[in-house]
Amino acid sequence: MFSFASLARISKQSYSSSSRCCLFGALPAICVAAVAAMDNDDNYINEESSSFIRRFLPTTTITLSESATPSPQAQSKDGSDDDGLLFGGQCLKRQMHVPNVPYPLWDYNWDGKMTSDTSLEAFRNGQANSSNRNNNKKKNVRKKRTKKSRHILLVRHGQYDERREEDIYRTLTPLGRRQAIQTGIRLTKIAKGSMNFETCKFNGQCSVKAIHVSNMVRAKETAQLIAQQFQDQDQKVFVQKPDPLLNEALPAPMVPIRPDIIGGTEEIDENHDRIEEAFRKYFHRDDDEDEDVTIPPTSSDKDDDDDDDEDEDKNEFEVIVCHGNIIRYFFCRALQLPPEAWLRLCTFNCSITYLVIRPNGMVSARMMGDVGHLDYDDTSFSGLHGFRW
Amino acid sequence: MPPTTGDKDEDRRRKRQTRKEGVTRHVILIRHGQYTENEKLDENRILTELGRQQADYTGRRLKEMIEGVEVRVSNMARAKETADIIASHLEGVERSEPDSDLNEGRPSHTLPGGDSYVSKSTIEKTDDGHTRIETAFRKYFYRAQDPPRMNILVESASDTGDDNNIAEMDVTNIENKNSGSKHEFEIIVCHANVIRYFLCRALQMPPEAWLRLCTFNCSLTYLTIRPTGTVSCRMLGDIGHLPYDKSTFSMHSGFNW
Repeated sequence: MFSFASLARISKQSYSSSSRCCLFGALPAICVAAVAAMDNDDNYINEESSSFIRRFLPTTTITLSESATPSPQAQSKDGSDDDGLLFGGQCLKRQMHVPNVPYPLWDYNWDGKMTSDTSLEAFRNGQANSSNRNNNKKKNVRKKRTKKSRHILLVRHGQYDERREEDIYRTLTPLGRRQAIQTGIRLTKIAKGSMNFETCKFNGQCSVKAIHVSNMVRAKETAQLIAQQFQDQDQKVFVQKPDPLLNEALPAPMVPIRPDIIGGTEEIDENHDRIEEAFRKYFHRDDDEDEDVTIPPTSSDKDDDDDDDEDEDKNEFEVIVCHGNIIRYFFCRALQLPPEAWLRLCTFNCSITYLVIRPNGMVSARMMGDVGHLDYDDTSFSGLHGFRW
Repeated sequence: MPPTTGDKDEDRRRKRQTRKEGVTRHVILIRHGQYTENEKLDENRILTELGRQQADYTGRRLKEMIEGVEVRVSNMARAKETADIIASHLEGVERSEPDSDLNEGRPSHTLPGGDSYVSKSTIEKTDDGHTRIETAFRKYFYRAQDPPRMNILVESASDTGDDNNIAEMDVTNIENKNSGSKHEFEIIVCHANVIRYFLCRALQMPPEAWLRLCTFNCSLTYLTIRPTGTVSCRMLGDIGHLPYDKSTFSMHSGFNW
């Protein structure tokens, strides 16, 4: 029976097979430099290697992908449920996400915005455009603005009253409100930066471009309380029109299976496409098209011919206040992990999940379910308090 | 856990019983604080002043989160230093001997980033690192099957879970009500690559994805392992307990990079 554990074993086999398959021709210079950076014991850590992080070594050859492809004909454990509809006897095949490239390969065009200089070939040749600049220096060509790294902070709403069915009554509890306020304060501190950083561009300020929010009451209340903290600090932030695409629902099948969840199959059928659409809407590298974000234009938006953009902040932050299932699904999809694993994660109330998308399409998760900013007594996962459960 | 009998009802009954009587293991992985990276010898690669402050904040955070804990640590100076500072905040702590299997290394190849063009030495490094770090994974990640150790038992409060919104809840809630189940906490102070690899393996995700994660200094990565073998990640790279201006990813400060 195919399982993710066996996938891990397959990957291990591929180490030896790929080392046999390695071609030791002339390495591109960039790879040599990158390898030098990796020779440190604690690689990826120093300055050199941080630029290496943005100039990833090319992926493996076909060997790995062949061995990593899950067999579509996997038999279920006891054989009885598998009439071709179930994968491994555990979840409906038709509801499973089909990646463009087999796990664990990385799809360079995951957001449809790959260009010739951010393709697999470009990375392989060491020509991947890792810098934010558009290198087009021809005359008479309109110079595009510097592309930014997109920092997305997903915030789960605070604890709410779950007793009634209609959304308008499912409002934040007093604890939920405290959580939202503490989260807002945390975000204002991140946005504000600090003079205490020893060496940090812009004092570590993170300009929060927008706060997006679902169209459910508990999220909207949370977002308002967060925005209030910004206002109290005289910091500008713009809460966008509520977006029902971000509303809560079951987004994908759950593996390991959850037979206790009633009506899961139907709910996934009704909501999966919508939630995937939300993912594509919010998760993509910076490109030249603005989304429907209502913010007043600033001077940095202007096209200028100034070659020196060292002073320009190449990072943009957005907050999305929504829901546990949505966040966990987005986390899996953004990292190109099987979304059927979403319920292996656990996002507490007002937790922060933080993903960065580089202009070259690379994605990094810096935290998932971060609740350290909340007082211990104000930590909850719905009705459960603290961690001893 | 007893093997499956083939009878679904009986299996379910046994599973419930295991949950009621078994021990949940809470494993919290902590990345060491910021350290002097320019030094060559491990004994000189020690925490910076900021790194020590980070460890201090972390000790305080852990004290409020858990009690009766076992502290494990790699055999590298920066981790041992971090663990010492953390342990100084905790009471009733059991300290294990440093474990070299938890030392930093390259646990697996990375995708994106692959391995078809890397040098032979990197491949060898990965082969070494992988064997050792996978050994560490198997050593520390398993479900509790033996009777719980009495000195580090903590009874869970019998909170009433709310099962109106099942979809948002971990599987544990429903069965946990008034179960009096037991909990064991373990802290492992080690390194970014090891932590990220452990997370992928524990959640049964492709380990080649480990470099898609980014764990800041003194971040908390928290996994629960139920007596039934279910694994859940409650936080990854949590640094909310640190003031923003004390947040570092090695020599990067803050988030604006």
